Amino acid sequence: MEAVFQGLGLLVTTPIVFVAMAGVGWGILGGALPGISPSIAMALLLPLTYGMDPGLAIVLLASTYVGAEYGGSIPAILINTPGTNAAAATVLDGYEMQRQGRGGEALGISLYSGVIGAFFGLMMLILLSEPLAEVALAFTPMAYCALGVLGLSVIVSLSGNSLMKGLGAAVLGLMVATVGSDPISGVSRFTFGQPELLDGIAPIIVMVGLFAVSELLRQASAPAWEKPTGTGTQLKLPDGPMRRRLVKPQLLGSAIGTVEGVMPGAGGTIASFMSYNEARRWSRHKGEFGKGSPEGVAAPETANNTVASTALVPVLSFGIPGSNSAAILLGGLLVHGLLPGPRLFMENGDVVIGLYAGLFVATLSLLVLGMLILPVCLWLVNRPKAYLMAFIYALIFSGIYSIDNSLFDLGLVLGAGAVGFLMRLTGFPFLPAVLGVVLGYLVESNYRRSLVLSGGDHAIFWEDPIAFGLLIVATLFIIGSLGTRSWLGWRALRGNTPPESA
Amino acid sequence: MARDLVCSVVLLVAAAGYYYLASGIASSALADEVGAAGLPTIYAFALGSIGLIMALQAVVKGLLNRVEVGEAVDLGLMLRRAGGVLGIGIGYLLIVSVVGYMIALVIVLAAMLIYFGERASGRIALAAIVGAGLFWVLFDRLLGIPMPGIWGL
Repeated sequence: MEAVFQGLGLLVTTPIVFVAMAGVGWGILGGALPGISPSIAMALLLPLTYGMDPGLAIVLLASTYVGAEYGGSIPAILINTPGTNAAAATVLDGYEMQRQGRGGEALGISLYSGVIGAFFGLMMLILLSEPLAEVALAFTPMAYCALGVLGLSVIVSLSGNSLMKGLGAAVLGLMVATVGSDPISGVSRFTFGQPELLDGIAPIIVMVGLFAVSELLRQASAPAWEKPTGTGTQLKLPDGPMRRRLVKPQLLGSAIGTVEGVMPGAGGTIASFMSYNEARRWSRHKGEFGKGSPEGVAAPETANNTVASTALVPVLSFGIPGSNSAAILLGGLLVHGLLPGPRLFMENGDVVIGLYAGLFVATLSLLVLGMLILPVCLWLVNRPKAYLMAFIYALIFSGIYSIDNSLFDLGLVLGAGAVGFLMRLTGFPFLPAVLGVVLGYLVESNYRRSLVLSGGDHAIFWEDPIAFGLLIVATLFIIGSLGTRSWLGWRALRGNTPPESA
Repeated sequence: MARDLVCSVVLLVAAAGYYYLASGIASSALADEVGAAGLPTIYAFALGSIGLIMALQAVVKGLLNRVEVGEAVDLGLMLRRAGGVLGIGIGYLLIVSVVGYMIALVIVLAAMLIYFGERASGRIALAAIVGAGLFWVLFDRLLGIPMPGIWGL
């Protein structure tokens, strides 16, 4: 209770409220611009925080993270381009809703679920920070590898009508993840003498290429130019029946977002995909997923906004950043001489409590600023298609260049776009490829580190209880998904169900 | 069937090419048991196997006459239209270092507007110039990202 009063006192006596709102506003803008990831939006602010009070600086960075995680869903829904990695799962149903003229409804669900996820994440950050951090600390390379395998196991149920095409796309993604320096020996692989490839290919480049550029190519190649979708769309927050329908996916998203957030390396992307998958598994409206399901928007949005807060747990408690954004926040702490760990809570308790208070304000202002900014986004997407396509292309060029000031990256995005267009034509799903790119390095590096530890003995994976548990869950998940696919396929063959639903 | 067969051949070729490159990865004194080429080799075999299975599936489907009837599309036209957008992107890459970010972006915006069916007019020129200016202000001035060309212009 004393901490609550202390937090309230800080809200009144310091400009935390304004700093938090500024951070959220900047974060939404950064997240909504494809190519400007939360980490970039935070990194751009970092130099500005040098002269600030340490508490305010941390609030500004953390609020930007919260805003950016939500902002990423705006272009995902409106223009089929995830503004952040974690918003990639939102594209699936969000953009479908937009194409059906329900973009305003999708944005309302995203905002509503994002705020719920952010509040839940903040609650978890405050209440469970230390116990959960202990779990995260216990993670070994074997457990990280198993975590990656668990993430990849989602592919089986994300493969659409062809399991082989889904697996093929996943392997292609894993191959992309091998480009660059080898994680153990440092030997360069598949770099063709290009220094730009030594650090590998960033997942955001593959995602923007697969999702955004290939969508531009699809729009250009449509037999007849399509009319703009969503004309006259109004922001629509979910009504009572819809809110009740969204409870289950939001609970799943919050729970998965909490667990994934405190696990370094997991992050919002895995949480989004896993919660999307679980929401579909437990939904009464499975057939709507991929065709504009409100639950398909709610689950990943709740999850990635939960992660925005829970990802701070290992940073504050142990100084372990679980993501690029968390690493920048850690940098912000270190710049001001704040050392994460138990001493941070003992010696700089006001900074921690100020952070909690700032995040509370940030989450509240997410609702207000989200509503204020969304109509502008709706106006933007309702411009004539030619203008929209031209400006999206210009935005991709500008945003991708800004990641690393590299024209080479732009070439990669165009290449990924061409591959994505061919994948669309031939029915290969994108998501397994994206998961392969995102998880490939995590799986390979930790698999090999584990074998170095064991001298090449794979038994080390069974001997580590966390790794063993995660692998068992992954195996059960794959068996369950394969069983469901077979059953649905068998039903389709017998003519009981239309093949499309299978 | 033909489409899936083509896909399977593409996957097999990709697997073979990737395997060839993986086998050329230099070994290192720091290498572990798996080695830098270990997982890439496994991925190559996995992709090759998937390609083979897809080819078999396509053949079996053909034998069982379970050919999927899709919407008739003019593939050539689709590829040409998509290729045009890619061409505009490649054009940007080629000229941006020479003429600078602003001018290259004006050209891209105008080219895309015309390509997507707007009539060439002063309005398009105005939209392209104003749009490029806004992007320059946002990225180069506000975000401080040094865009290509002199002062990002």
